[in-house]
Amino acid sequence: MALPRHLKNGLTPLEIEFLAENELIEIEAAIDTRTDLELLSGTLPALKPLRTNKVPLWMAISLKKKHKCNIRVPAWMTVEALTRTLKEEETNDVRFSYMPYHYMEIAQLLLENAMDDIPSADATRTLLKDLREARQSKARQGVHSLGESYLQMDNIGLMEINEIRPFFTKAFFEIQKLRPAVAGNPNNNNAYDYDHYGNSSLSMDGRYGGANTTDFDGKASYSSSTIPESSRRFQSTQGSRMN
Amino acid sequence: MEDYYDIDAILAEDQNVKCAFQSNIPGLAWLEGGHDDALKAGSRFDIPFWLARELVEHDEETVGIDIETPEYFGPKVRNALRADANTVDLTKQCPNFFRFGTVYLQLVDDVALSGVMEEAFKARLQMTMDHTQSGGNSNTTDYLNRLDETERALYKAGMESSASIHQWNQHSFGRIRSASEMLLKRKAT
Repeated sequence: MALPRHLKNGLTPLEIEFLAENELIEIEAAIDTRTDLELLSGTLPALKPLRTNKVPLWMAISLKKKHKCNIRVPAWMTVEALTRTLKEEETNDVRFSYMPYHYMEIAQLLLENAMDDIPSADATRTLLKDLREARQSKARQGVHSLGESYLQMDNIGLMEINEIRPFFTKAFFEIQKLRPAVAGNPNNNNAYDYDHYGNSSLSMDGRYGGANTTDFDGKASYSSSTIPESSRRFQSTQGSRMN
Repeated sequence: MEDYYDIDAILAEDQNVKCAFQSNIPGLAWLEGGHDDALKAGSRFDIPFWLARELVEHDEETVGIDIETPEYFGPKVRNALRADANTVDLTKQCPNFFRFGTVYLQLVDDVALSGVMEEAFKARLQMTMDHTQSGGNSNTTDYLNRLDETERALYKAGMESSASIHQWNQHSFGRIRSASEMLLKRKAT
């Protein structure tokens, strides 16, 4: 498909943000809707003031912009929880600590639209930034262990995956291409037939030695002193060139 | 062949390799630039890699040739790559080092070389990734010059994705701005 290049690599950050807006979040509504809310994705119970309701993030933000609700900060986004996660992130060198799949997007949307609902928003922002940097450097370590089969990264968020995806997938294919010569490699779907040369003598310095080779199915050696067939062929090619 | 229409793959196969012919071949002397009819046994000269492969791999009759290991796959570069892959200037050696290495290894069996190349690629990969995420540093150009084409494509991909995340963080998506061409025009007038 003829997509622009920046769309070929997967999702764009804006698309990921859109996906994250479907996550449920707790709000305290300031309005009474009286009836249940029938949405395409399902029915939400009616919003009542002084009660907490779970609604999709997009609805929470929309209500927030109309000053019709307060958003409750998710448990993982409080300063205490983030401090704990950050400490865990820094002590454990290999594993990612647990964070929601959409944590970057949700945090960004909340910090952008519901600043007044977040106690100590600045501290939260700093902690999130530190956390992201710690995780990013861990993802970078992952390059080191990029092997031929797979790479394990638990608890990584969608935005983080999407950031390293173009780089990692391309690098992965290149590594696989670099090891075609391994015999019996199941991923090997190259056009060249190695068995054909299975018998040929290959000297250690990497030369293709055609000197004393016998072909696989017992044909004459490559370097027979007379080349009856090929001589005719080469002459005819040259002839056509001159014409 | 998966890479049939890939222009980079075609360019990668266009490297010259030095070949020694082991037998007289009538009618091929023009390859060497001579006007005689037959190519003498034992003559050595550069031919493109794709031609060498055709000569060796032809279904019906094969021509006995020795392909010499190119200098950039030779022991000197190999040792340099083993010692510290990050400092080797691959563009100087061969701009399509890894790509050509792949097709070269499909024809020539050289387990040591494939090992060296894989290890070197992995070692350099980490350096490339570090550079994509650290943004534009002062020593980037120096380092970019040492990358081969494959790595450069990787660097570009990494740069683009981290730039788009950065933009998203700065809330600069969805904002309406004048196109860069318009700004240039305004400056010119």
